[in-house]
Order: sequence, then structure tokens, then C-alpha cells
Amino acid sequence: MATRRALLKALLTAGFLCAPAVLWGLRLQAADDSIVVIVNKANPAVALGLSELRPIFQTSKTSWSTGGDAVPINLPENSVLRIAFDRAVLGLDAERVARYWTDRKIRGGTRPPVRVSSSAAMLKAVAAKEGAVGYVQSSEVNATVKVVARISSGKLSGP
Amino acid sequence: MPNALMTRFGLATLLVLACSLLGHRASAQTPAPAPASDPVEASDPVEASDPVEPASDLAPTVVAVEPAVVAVPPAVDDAARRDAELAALKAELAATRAQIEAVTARQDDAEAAAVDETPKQDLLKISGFADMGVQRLWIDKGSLIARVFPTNSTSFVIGNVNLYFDAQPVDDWRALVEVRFTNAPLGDTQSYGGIAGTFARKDTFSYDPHGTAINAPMWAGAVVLERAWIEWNEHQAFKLRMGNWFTPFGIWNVDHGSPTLIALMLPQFILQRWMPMRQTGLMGYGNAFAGEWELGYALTFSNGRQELSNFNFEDKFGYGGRLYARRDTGAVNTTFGLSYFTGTTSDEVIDVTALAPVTFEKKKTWEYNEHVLGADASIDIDATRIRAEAMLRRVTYTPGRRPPGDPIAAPGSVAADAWQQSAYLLVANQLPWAGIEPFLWSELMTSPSPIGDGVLVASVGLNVHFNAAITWKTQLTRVHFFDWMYDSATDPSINDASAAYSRIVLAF
Repeated sequence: MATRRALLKALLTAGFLCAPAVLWGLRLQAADDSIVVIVNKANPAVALGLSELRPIFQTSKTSWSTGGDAVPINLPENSVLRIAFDRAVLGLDAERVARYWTDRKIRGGTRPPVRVSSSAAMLKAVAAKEGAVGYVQSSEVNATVKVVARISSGKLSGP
Repeated sequence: MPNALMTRFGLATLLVLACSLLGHRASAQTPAPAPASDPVEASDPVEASDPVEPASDLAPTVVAVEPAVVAVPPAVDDAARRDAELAALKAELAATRAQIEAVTARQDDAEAAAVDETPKQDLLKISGFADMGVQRLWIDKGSLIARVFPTNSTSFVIGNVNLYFDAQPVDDWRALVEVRFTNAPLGDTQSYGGIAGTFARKDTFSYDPHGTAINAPMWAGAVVLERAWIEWNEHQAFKLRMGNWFTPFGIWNVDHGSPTLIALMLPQFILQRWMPMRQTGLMGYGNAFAGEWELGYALTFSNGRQELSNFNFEDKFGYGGRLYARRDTGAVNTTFGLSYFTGTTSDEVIDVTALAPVTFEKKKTWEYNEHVLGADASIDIDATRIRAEAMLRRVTYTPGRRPPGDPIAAPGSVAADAWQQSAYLLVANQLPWAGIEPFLWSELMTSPSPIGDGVLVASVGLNVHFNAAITWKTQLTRVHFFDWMYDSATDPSINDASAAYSRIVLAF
């Protein structure tokens, strides 16, 4: 019994001591898992900034500055990735994004971006559709698309 | 898509069950071999007799040890059987995983393909909004307004019930139809009594011809075509819209719906239709970007006002346009705009002047030309919303074609040429809790009128945004009439009025 209790105490002590390191590791992992903005590989853009991405995802800009139709693709409204993307690119929280599109609908403005349900579908859609632009976690990106921007700590930066 | 989700859910459930089964079997079988093959543990008298920890992993083992010597098959055979079962379960699990991945991949492929055929993803969208509530107007009983309109009573109202049908059957083409359902004109005053004739109220009652009783009652209402247009939108810099559309003039006329408008009451220049709220014709519009600024335009070519008829009586069209600059950074959204409309509006009557042969004569009864210029600013800074519009209108009648003046306030008069001006400022701020957004609104208008050529409107209101779809709006308004440039025969302030409006607004 005494041996077991001692062992249990040792394990608990080790757990408390290791917790900060584990949390720090998770934080590092989260930081590495930033959001990347992706476009079709045929898109000549190398890097995209807010002045290009924001109006495209607001659908007030329907063409790329370099020519061709812009096809923004969104994840569902309750997606964590979507919320982080909207906050960084549109500068709006989820409720204001919803109101933005309600207002747009009432005015009869351009429809919101098309929506897919998963990052895998996002990757496939962007890879397949010329002019498409979307976003996935950096850990999910593959060679079928091109990364043109990155969102880390809520800020948009170059790829 | 639901089928795919259900398939995915079913497979996921199967996977969970397989994992549970695997875990159950593994946990049920794992402890057995150890005690059977470990005589030291089995014969340990200390552990076996320890009453304090009966739940110990070793306790049941001790109980099972003695019969196991006789009943349990040789350990080698057991291990082989368990290995075989484990291998089978692993294979089953792998197959299930493969199925799930295949279904997921098919779903992703389908969604990706749908994006490639964007319009087909949402061939027809139906949406809309509704607002309902209660309101009251307080006004002096001696006022001309109080004598004509229903006042000094509280009334529940059906506000708007609007439906949008938004179709995009192919790339670059779109159609939008907005209709409003209302029980108007039930109850409107049709004619006055006394020396003016016989009083009559519009009654839309009828017996329901399709009812389940011969005397089933029904009251007819109107379906208002708010707008209906078809648009070609292949190019961002030039899109062409044909049909019936809201005049792209300022802020209020385009926002137009209660979920989007901040206040409930409409500005006077909208209420008095200083520019046509909607027109039938062509509208070309587009935009371009210069850095963070969006520069846009709209050009309109239409029948002009069509408040009397859907026809253009002569080849006199309405022309207009709008220029705007917008910068939207999310936290700060700024729009500045200029709008213009001009057109000639007239009425045409047809008289029979002879019977043999029947001879018709068309003639214009009244005709006027108008120029309307507007400027607007819309500024959103975080939770603060500021809206301002100013409008200048010039109306000139064709000589000999002036319509009668106000038959109630100034009987026997004719309408005069006029300059009209109006401006408003609205400031709203959403507080950081409960979606509460108080607002202040003030409007000043000058226009020749027998009840005072100056109108000052002041409002205070409160919106509560429960969520993006539902808002509760309340507004208290005071309207003051006064003489600005002309002297009225009576004190115009007798027409001062107070109003309270409250609506629950739902967008869907």
C-alpha cells in the first residue's frame, strides 16, 4: 500500500511539473497550425494582401486584379477556421459577419461566397476551379494548391 | 448531401462499435493469461487475503486461479485463438476505415464539383424579412392631420412581410424578385362625406368562393411587387440590370428593409417621394478598386416615375446616376456618395368628344420636370454607425399644366414650382452587452406647404439585436411644423405630432 501511494504521489508530482511544458508544447503546435490562404495553381498571384482578399470575400470584387473571375470559397459559419479567417480578413466577428450578409441580402446585392463543408473539399475545389481562393490550416495544405498568404495570431501576412 | 452525411454517420457509428467491441474483448481477455501462467502471483497469500483492496487487478485473478488449472485450455492455444480474433477485428476495422475515407472523399469530390458549377449550387434562394408590432400617433385634435388620418389611438400592425426569390440558373445571369404581402388597402378612406359627397371606406371583404361554407369570410389584400429584375453580371466593371429596380439614390432607398435600416420611421424625402423609389428600365452599374477604396457608379435610364401608370406616355424618359467611394476595413467602413435623377412626369387623360363616329381625344392634364440631387455619407467605426443624407429638389411645371393644389389645406389652388431641401443625421452606437443599440436621429426639411414650409423631426430609438436574424426596434419621434420662408394662414405648429413605433423584426 505504502509503495503504491508513494508511486501515485510521484506520478501526480511529475504531472504538475510537466503540465507547463505540455501546455507550452500545445501552444507551439497551435502556432504552427496557422491558417493559409490558398489559390488555384494557375493564379499568377504570389502574395495577396487584405486590400485584395477582403473585397473578394465580401463579393464586392468579382475579378482578380490580374484578370479572370475570382471565386471565393468559404467554410461553414460555425467552423473555427472560418471564424478566425473572417476576423482576420473581414475584420468582423461571427455575429457581424452574419449581419453583413443579411444586410447585403436585403439590399439585393451580390450573393455570398460558395461554401464547402470541409478543408478537404476546400482543397479539392480550389485545386479544380481556376480563380478559386480559399483557406485551410497550414498542416492540411498540399501541393495541389498555391499558398498566397498566412494568418498567424489573427494577422494576415505573406506566404 | 444528407444521404452522404447519413452514410458517413452510419459508418462512423460502425467504427465506434467496432472499436468498442475490440476494446471490450481485449479487456476481457487480457488479464486471464497472466495469472494462469504465473504461479507466483497466484499463490501470493498476502495479495489474496488483502481485504482493503478487493477491486485490485489481482483480486479476481486469485479467485479464478484454482479452477483454471482444470477448465482453461492450454495457454498456447488460447493465445493463438485470441491472436486470430484480434487479427480479424483489425481487418474489419481497417475495412471500415477505408469505407469511411472513400465516402468522405466522394463527398469532398462532390462539393468541389459543385463549386466548379457555382450557380447550380444554389439555383434558387428564397429569403425575406418580416416585422410586426405596435404604434401610436399623438396629435392635437384641431390639427388638419388629425382630422384626416387615424390618430390618438394605439394600434397593433402587420408591418412588412416580404419574400425574395433569387435565381441564378447559369453563370453571369441572375434574377431577383421581391414581393410584399399586405392586407392594404382594407380600411382606407375612399371618399369624404358631407358636402364632399358620401363617405366611403375601402372594404375588401368578400365571401370565400373556395371556402368550406357558402358564407366563409375572407378579406383580400395586395401583393406589392417591390422589385423584379434580370441582371447580366459577367463583368465587375459593367453589369446590366433590366426590369423594375430600386432607384440607386442615397442610403435609405437602397437599404429599404427593416432588418437593414437603423430607424423605423422613414425620412420625409422618402415618405414624400422626392425621387422615384423604384423605376422600370435599364440600370448599368459597376465598380473598380484603387488600393483600399472601392469606386462605383450606377447609371439609370427608365420610364421615370411610374406612380400613375406603368407606361411612358411620351418619349420622355427618366435619367439618373450615382457615384460612390467606399473603404471598408472591417472596423471602419466609410462610404461617400452622390446621386442624381431627372425626368418629366405627366398624366394623360382620354376623352370621348363625339359619338358618331366615336372620337377620342388625348390630352395632358398636368406635367412637371424635376431635378433631384443627393449626397450621402455612411460611416461605421466599430460599434458606432453614422448615416447622413442631404437632398435638393427642383420642380417646375409646364405652363398651363399645373395640377390642383392641396384640396384640403388649400382648395382651389394650383401647384407651384418649388425648391425643396432635406437633410438628416443619424447616429447609433451598439453597447457592449445584450446587443443594445440606442440611436438619435434628426431631420430638417423645407418644402412649400399649406401647413408650414419647415419640418423638423427628432427621434430617439433603441434597437436590441438578439442575434443576426432578430431585432427588436423601438422609436419615439416628435415632428414640428414651422414657417421658414412663407407665412401660413394658421399656426403650423398645431400639426405637431408625436409618434411611437415598436417592431420585432425577423430576417430569414
